[in-house]
Formats: sequence, structure tokens, C-alpha cells
Amino acid sequence: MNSTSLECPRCGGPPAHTPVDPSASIACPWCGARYERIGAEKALRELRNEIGLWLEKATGAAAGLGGADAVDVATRSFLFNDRILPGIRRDVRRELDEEIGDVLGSPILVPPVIGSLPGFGGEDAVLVTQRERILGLRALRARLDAPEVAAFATSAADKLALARLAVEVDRTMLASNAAFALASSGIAASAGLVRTNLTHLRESAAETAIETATDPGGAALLRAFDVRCVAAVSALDALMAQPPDLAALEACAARLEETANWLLTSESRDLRAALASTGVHRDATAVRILVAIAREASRIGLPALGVVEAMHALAPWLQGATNAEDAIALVRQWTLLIAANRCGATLPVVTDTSWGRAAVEAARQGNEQPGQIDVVLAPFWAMPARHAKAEGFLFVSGKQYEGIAVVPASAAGDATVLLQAQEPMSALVQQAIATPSRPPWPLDAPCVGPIAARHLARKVLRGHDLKNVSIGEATLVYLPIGCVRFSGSKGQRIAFVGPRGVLPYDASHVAARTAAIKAVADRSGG
Amino acid sequence: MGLFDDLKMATGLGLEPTEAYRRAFDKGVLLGSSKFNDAADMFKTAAEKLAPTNPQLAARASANASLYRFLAKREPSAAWEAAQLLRSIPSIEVPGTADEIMDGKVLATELDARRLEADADRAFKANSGQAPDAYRQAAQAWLLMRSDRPVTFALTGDDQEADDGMTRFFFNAAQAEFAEAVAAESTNPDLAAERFAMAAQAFGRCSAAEARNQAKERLRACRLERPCWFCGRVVRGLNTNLRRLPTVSSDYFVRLAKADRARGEAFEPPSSIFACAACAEAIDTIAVHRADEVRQEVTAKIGSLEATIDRLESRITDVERRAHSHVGSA
Repeated sequence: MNSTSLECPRCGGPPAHTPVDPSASIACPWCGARYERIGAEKALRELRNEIGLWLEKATGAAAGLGGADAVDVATRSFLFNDRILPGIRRDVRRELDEEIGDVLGSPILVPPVIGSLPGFGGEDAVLVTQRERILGLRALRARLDAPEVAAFATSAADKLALARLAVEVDRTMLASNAAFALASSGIAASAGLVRTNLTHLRESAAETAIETATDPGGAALLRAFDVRCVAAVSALDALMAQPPDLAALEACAARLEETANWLLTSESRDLRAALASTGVHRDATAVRILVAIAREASRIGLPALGVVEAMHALAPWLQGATNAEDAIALVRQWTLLIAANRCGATLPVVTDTSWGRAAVEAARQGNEQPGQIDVVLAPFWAMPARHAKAEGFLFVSGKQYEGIAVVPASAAGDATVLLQAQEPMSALVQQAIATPSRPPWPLDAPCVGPIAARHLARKVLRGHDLKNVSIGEATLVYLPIGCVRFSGSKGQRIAFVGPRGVLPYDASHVAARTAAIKAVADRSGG
Repeated sequence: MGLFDDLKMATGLGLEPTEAYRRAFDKGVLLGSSKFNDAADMFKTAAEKLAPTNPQLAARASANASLYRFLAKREPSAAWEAAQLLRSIPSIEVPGTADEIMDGKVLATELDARRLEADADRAFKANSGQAPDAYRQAAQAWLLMRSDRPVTFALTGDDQEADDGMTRFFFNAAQAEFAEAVAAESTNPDLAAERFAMAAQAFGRCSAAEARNQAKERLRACRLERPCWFCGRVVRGLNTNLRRLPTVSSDYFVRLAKADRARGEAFEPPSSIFACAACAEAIDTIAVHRADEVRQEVTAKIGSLEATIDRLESRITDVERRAHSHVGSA
């Protein structure tokens, strides 16, 4: 990445080959953009003018008088350390930490299926979402390499300071090339570009050795980034292998987790290292999601990469996941659903519909008559719930109760139900979880994760004036709900009726999810 | 349970030691956070009763007394006492419940971290230079339980940034950066900006949106660089080294500002100018001095007017008195 040679006008990377014909199209091996030599040469001239102007402003007359050659070494050193380096450093910090945002915590591994989940989009994934701003670093990066600037760096320490800043900017630009390609083109199409960028990043970082003794935080960041680069390339290779190398994928996830923990435990007093640990952890999460999908896919004999790429269609539903653990739980459940749709795998399903008649009667309003009833198996998160309640009038005491909180996993809104331990439905839910069976009706897919469901249950139960609410771990269970067509004087309406009356479902959403899962199951077969 | 038992439980009189322990749950803990202080008192009484016969349960009662005192009053000393006592007992009821059990040492770790947080908050509120380090220490303490969910925040309803130890780590690490930035704001705006940027990122990690926005706002203020309208010096750091002063709203000045790129930035349309703290302070001092002079002049004038009014009032009274005596004699 040298500004003195021809470079991609978009990302600043040098071309693999420079064609003789100035109008011949060049494919950038770094960012994938296409450009012509003539355009690149023009962009380079503009960039060098910009550097000249900046240097003149920073050094006053010195640069204008004929550059660094016009002044003696002591003056050059003074100008470098008093004006040039602080100016560049401030610009780098402003761009990376303030304008672009959380670069250190941004994941590199953002294949399309993962891009929708929290921690992998928006301000958490700036390597992807701040793409234009990152490409704008090209001018700043060129300044760090410019011979006019280097001429003021008279000592080895000055040169090293510039090189370190260059590595920091490269880390953002090259990692963004990889992450953006992966997010926008998918795994198979971007694997080569990911490899090119991350391999170069490792090599350039290795040249700028940072000593642990003088800068432990900086050295830790470099080491962690090296692990991320290796793991990202290895994980994609393992996923694309035939059959997928699950052991290698798991090893990547483990290595990344280990590195994230190491950053926290050994260097946590340096906030940069702690923030970087989140980036490493997010990459580990991405690999864990890929492992979860690949394992279930392999178990049912489907190509892992096919399932991962096909699941892209379901990615928007991950927006209901409030964190990575929710997302992992959701993709795992989807893979099980795909298995159930393709080869009749068993699921925790309640098949007793005895609640139905009373619930439908209760849901009937005015003169409406229930017509056709279609049963759909809707996912719910079931979690043990304990709470206390004030009882008594004269002698008030607190009493503790146990039950199961049941939260819809595919509907937004407050439809949490607290089943008391002695209720028959409570026993049915526990039995379904203990002994999975083949689902006899169409299946809706979950789009709310277990942690979000737990938060919702806690909020709803607290709102019911229950004290000291404590909610346990969530397990997914499928309950039969009735899609009822009510008809009356005002026409027809469709309502979803569950164990405690009408549920806040949208018929078109349920139909879309049920159909999408089936479609993905079909496509995953290759 | 008969009426007599109900009465005993209601008053606490005549209870067996274990009943006194049970009463702290029924009449305190299980009635919610508003009764936690009562629960602490009841646990303390129970501990005294249990001490001679059941020292193990007495230790648990003492630990609960300190725990609920902390949750009710947020006194760091109560958290410290609770953590010390919890380390010596194998298990304790999960806070907020009467019969769910957890490891005493795990709860001790959580209370230690909460104590350090409370100490750091106090240091920050007192503008102490120790605040950043105190927050860093608290952050480190949360790392010991980074994947565990704290159990005490939910009981008092302040569990927004308390999903797990990692969330608390970032919250406290962010507070450390924020405190450091605040301290450096006026002396070194560049350093302060870097610290605010780090704080914003760390607040982002624990979904503390409001705190994050505040850090970003302070960061923007720190980075703001403008020439002073009066002296022309370029100064960085709004609200510390740089002040925004209200002035006339005029198209003329807008045009003037656009024409002079270097000094024009000192004018902020439609009606503000920027002044460095030195000029603004000098202007303030002159204004205060002038205001004092005017106040003295006005006070002197008011004094003389009051004396005139007094004289006039006494003459009116005199005239009235004479008029009355004249009417009487007629």
C-alpha cells in the first residue's frame, strides 16, 4: 500500500498488474472495485497535491520553501515532533475513534446470515457500515507513506511512530475490505478477497514490531489481530471444505474465545485491549453460529455452506435477537426446523389441543361465529419462574410461588403467560420438553431469542405486582395455536387463539415464516 | 397457623430463633425492596437469637442483615461487611428469595464489586482525582464474574446495565474514562477528547445509550476549535476554554464572517460569537465591576430619595395633625 505507485482510487491498494493500455479495466485485488489506469493516475495527482497543501499548512514556510531539504536536521526533527506527528496522530484518532467509531469492537466475520443480529450491524459493525468513511481514510493513509512527510522523520523513533500509525489505519482499511466483501457478497464469492487482505495485514503488522515492555496494550492488540486474521481465513476454509471441517471450525472459535479472554485478563487495564476483546469475541460468536449451522446441517446430510448461504433469507428475523446468544439460539432452532421439515426430526411439541374450545369461545366477540380453524405449532420460550406475593389483610406476609413463564417466540408484544405449577398446561409443557415428538401440524419459526424473552417475562411479571421475580433458563417448546376465521355481520377476521385467548400474531407474518422455513429447507438440499 | 402464631409473626415477640429468621423473609424480603431495611433489622435480631444455639444460621442471618442493609441504603460499609461474612459461609438464599440457595462466595464477589462501584461514584461526585482509578478497580472486580448475571440489581429495579459482569465491566471502565476526560477537559482538550471517545465506545458496549450520548456531546464540545471574536486566538474546548456568547442577529455579520474565513469562524449565525475563556472572563470581570459601580450609585440615589420621602411624610403628618386640631377648635 504505497502512495508513490499507481493505486486503486477507491481503497488505495496497489493493483496486481498495471496494464499498458490506460483505458484498460483493472480489478482491485483488495476491495474488488474496477477502475481504469487513467482515472487512477488523476486521483493520485490530486492526492499528492492534497498532501503538499497539508504539509505546507503544518510546517508553515518550511515545506513551501522547497520541502525538508531546505531546512536543517534539527529543524526538521522539531517540525516533525511539534507539528507533523501530533497533527497526523490527532487526525488518525479523530477518524478512527470518533468519526468511524468502534473499530476495535467491530467483527470481521460478517457473512450475510449474521449481519442482521445485534453486535454485527449498525454502530457495532463499523468495518461494514462505515465503509465510505473508511475508504475516505485513503488520503490520511497516503500522508503516512508520503516521501515529503517521511523526509521530516529524521530518527528511527520518528519513522517507527509513522509506521505504527500506518499499521493502525491499514488494520481498519484492510479489515473493512474483508468484512465488507463478506457481508455483501457471501462466503463463497468473497473468500479470495478476504484471504488477500487479511494475509497482507498480518505481514505488514509483523514488520512493525511493538515491544510488550514499552507498549503492552499495543502489542496485545497486534497479537489479537493476528489471531483474528488467521482464524477468519481458516474458518472460511473449514466451512467450504467437503465435508465441512467441524473440528477446525471449533478450534477457530476456541482460539478466538481464548484470545478474547486473554485480552481481558492480561491487558484489561488498557481499555483499548478490553474493547478489542469484544471484536475478537464477536468473531468467535460468528464462528460459533457457523459451527451451530454446519453441525446440524451435517447431521441431516445437507451441505453446510448451502444451508449457511440459504439462511440468508431468514436473516431479517435475527433483528428480534437482542444479543449474540439469542442469535445462536435462533439459528440453531431454525436448523432443527429445517431438519423437521426435510426429514421429520422430532421437536418439543405439545399435541394436546383440549384447551382449544374454551379458548375459542373466550375469544369470540359479539355475534361473531368461529368458522374454519387451522392449527399451527407456534414456538414459545418456557422458563421456570419464581416470585413472591404479599398476602393477608391484617397479618400481611410474603409468600413464594413457582410456575412456568411462557413467552411467544414469534410475536412481538406482550403475550406472556404465567402457568402456575399445578395447572395441567404446565405438565404438558414439561412433558413436551422431556420427550420430543414429530410435529403433526405446520411449524412457525422463532424470531425472538431466549434472553429477550426472559427480559420480557421479567418486565411483564413485575408489572403484575409480583415481588422478587426470578426467571430461569429458557427452553423452546411448540404449542398448538388456532388460526380461527371468525365471521359476523361486519365480515370476516382471522385471529390466533392460544392457551389464554387471542395472541398478537399477524397472519401474513406466520404464513411468510412457515413458507420461508420450508423454502430454505428445500434450497439447503442443493 | 393460628391467630397466636400470626400475632407472634406480626410483632416478632416470643419467636423461636429459627422463626425469627423466617420472619425476616415473610415480613421483609418477600414484600419487596421497600421492606429491605426492615428485613435487615429482622435478620439482625434473628442473628442475635441464633448465635448461642445455631452459629451457622446466625452467620447467614448476619450476612443477610448486611446484604439487605446495603440494598436498602447503598452504604458501601454494609456491602463490605456482607462480603466478609459471605466468604465464611458455604451458601445463602438467593437475594429476593426465601429458599433458593447460591454459593456465598459468588455473592461476596458481586457485593465487593458493588462496593467498589459505590466508592467510585462517591469519589466522582466529590470531584476527587481518585475517581478514574476507583472506577477501574470496580471494573476489574466485575471481570471476576464476567459471564455471570448479577443477582442484586434486579431487586432494586436498577438493572439496565447489569446483564452480566462484562456489562458492568464496560460500564465502570467507561465511567473511568469519562471521569478522566472531565478532569482533563480544560487543561488538555485533545486528551479529554480521546478519553470521551473511549468512554462513548465503552458505554456503547453496555447499552448505556444516555451516557454514551452525553460522552459524545462532551467529545464534540472538546474538539470544537474556534478563533476568539475579541483576541483572534484559536482556542479548543467549548464550555471550558471557549464560550458561546449571545450577540446581535444580523445579516451583515453573517456576510462578514463568510468573507473572512480565518476570523469569520468566531461568529456563529444567527446570533452568537465565540470568545476564549480569558477574554470572556475579563469581560465578565469588567461587567461585574461596572455593575458594582452602578449598584453603588443607584444605592446612594435610593438612600437620598428615601430620606426625601421620609421628610415629606413627616411634613404631611404634621400638616394633617394641624388640620385636625383646627377643625376641632372650630
